[in-house]
Amino acid sequence: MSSNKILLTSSDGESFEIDEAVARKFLIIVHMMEDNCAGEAIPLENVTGDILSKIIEYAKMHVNEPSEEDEDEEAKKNLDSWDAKFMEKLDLETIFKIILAANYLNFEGLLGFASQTVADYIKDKTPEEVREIFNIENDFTPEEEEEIRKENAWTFNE
Amino acid sequence: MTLPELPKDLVEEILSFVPATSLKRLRSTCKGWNRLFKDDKRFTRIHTEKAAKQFQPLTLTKNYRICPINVNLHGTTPSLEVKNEVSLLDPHSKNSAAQFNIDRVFHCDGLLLCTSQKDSRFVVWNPLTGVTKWIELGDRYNEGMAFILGYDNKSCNKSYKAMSFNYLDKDSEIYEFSSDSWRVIDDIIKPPHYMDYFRECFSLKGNTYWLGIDRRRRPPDLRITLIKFDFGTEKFGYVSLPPPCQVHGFEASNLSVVGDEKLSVLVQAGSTSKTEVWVTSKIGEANVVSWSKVLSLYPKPDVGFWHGLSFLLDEEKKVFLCCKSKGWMEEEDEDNVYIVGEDNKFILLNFGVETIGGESPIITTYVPSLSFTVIYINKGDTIMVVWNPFMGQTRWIQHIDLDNTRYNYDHDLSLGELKFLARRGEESRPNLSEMVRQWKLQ
Repeated sequence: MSSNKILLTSSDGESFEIDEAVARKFLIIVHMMEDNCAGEAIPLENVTGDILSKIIEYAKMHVNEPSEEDEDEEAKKNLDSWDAKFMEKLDLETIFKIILAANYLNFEGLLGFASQTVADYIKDKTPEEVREIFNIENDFTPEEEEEIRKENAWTFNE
Repeated sequence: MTLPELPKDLVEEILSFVPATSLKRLRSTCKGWNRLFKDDKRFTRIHTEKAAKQFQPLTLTKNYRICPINVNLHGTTPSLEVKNEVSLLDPHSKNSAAQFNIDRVFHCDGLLLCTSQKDSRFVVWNPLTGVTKWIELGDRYNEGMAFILGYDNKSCNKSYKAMSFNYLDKDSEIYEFSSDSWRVIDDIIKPPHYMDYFRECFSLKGNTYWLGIDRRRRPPDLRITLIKFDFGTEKFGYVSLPPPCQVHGFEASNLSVVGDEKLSVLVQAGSTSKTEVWVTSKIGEANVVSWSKVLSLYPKPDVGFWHGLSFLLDEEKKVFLCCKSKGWMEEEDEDNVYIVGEDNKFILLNFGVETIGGESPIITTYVPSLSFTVIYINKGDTIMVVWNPFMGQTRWIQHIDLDNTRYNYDHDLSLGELKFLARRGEESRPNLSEMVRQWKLQ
């Protein structure tokens, strides 16, 4: 089975040659491939090279995505472990950029995984810390905030 | 480190993975988030699918209060801590701080159905969002009544229903929240009318399960079986129990839920003291489930697992927690639980609080969720309000007497009514809120 190679170019001019099977994880590319003449590089205007290389690294590992019914527990565990190590090394800024890029590329698997990672990161943070992370303005008055704090009489993990 | 700004839909994507209790805490981040968690039905649905479920055991104290219990089964010293009580205010009391004295609680889908002794109301309450729905029973009420809560899991709109059953041999009735109506159940299997069995009722995927007598058999061959009430079809059915139960000499004595997708039973070998803990596969639509054995326990004679005792199971860690029944010969009136793992070492832990009467603490597992939300929409210049308080009903109201100024709406679900306060800047329009209050839920 011959594997077709697809050429991708990032916004800052870096080139990546990947197998067609890997490229097909990015649904935006699937559409572009249909319009594209064979052999031409596909330009990805909204993704820089450093982020694209990370995304491709993830996509390569997930090319043969095991289905839910799959009995191979060992393989699943190994993949989960690789995924965890992959994310651990990244700082929050990079993860945000990956989320934006995965959204642009329409790569749902990575978008979900990265979103879950950020969710786990913020779940124990205070509203103030979360506002800083997402650059949100606090539009509550101190009285309104106090009202909500009173309503939330019951929290877990106290 | 300046983080890139994420568009609203990607922020929501992230939030849909955040556990429900953390979302509750993050309500005060900004007004947009507060509205999203409380009022956005679309977000609630996505969140229910995506976010990891949390499981919080609860117990009912002697003071008629619900308390969360934190159970720590890790490592060599398991522990149990009963936390501060959760408060549910009684809106009909003259004292504005008075709480509702809960003597029974039934959990379904993040909602708690609570009743109080000698009180002709029941309330469905989401402790996470604070939304309550009080139902006044009026003439229907009798002291032997108990209720279960469920929904039709085949319909995409979760339409919640409550079912009554009685200590006296009266008919059971179903109450449908979306239509505010009652109807009689005419299916053949009577729901449990022994109050003891009520403790063993559990909700899973909208349907209720309990251990009861298999009425397809005749004495002396009476057996315990697993009965299911399907809130969609409103019919009873039998569910097969683990293989040993088909054999004489073994009997299922206790039932519990594991997570929010599986059931667990204790199977006792009559002649020996061997007790097996069995767990179902994920409960699907058919009544056929497959069972697997998780633990085999050999409790000493003084550890008895009787009917009606609550238990919790950590399937992954193979650790089992069971309430100890208070022996009537013993002096102790404190509540205790046993924790035991595969090593068969029974560890006795003190509960720390006195729980509501009867033989032992009741433990219900509550799964926090954003269910039961209210939504409203401003639509252009003609302001239309859509609300769906009980996930099965929407109502459009057209404000025909308003001028074309934009209004902000606050809503307040209290006493089962919707109260709107229309604000234009600082100015409020009490006439409008009066008018809305008169519109009954149809």
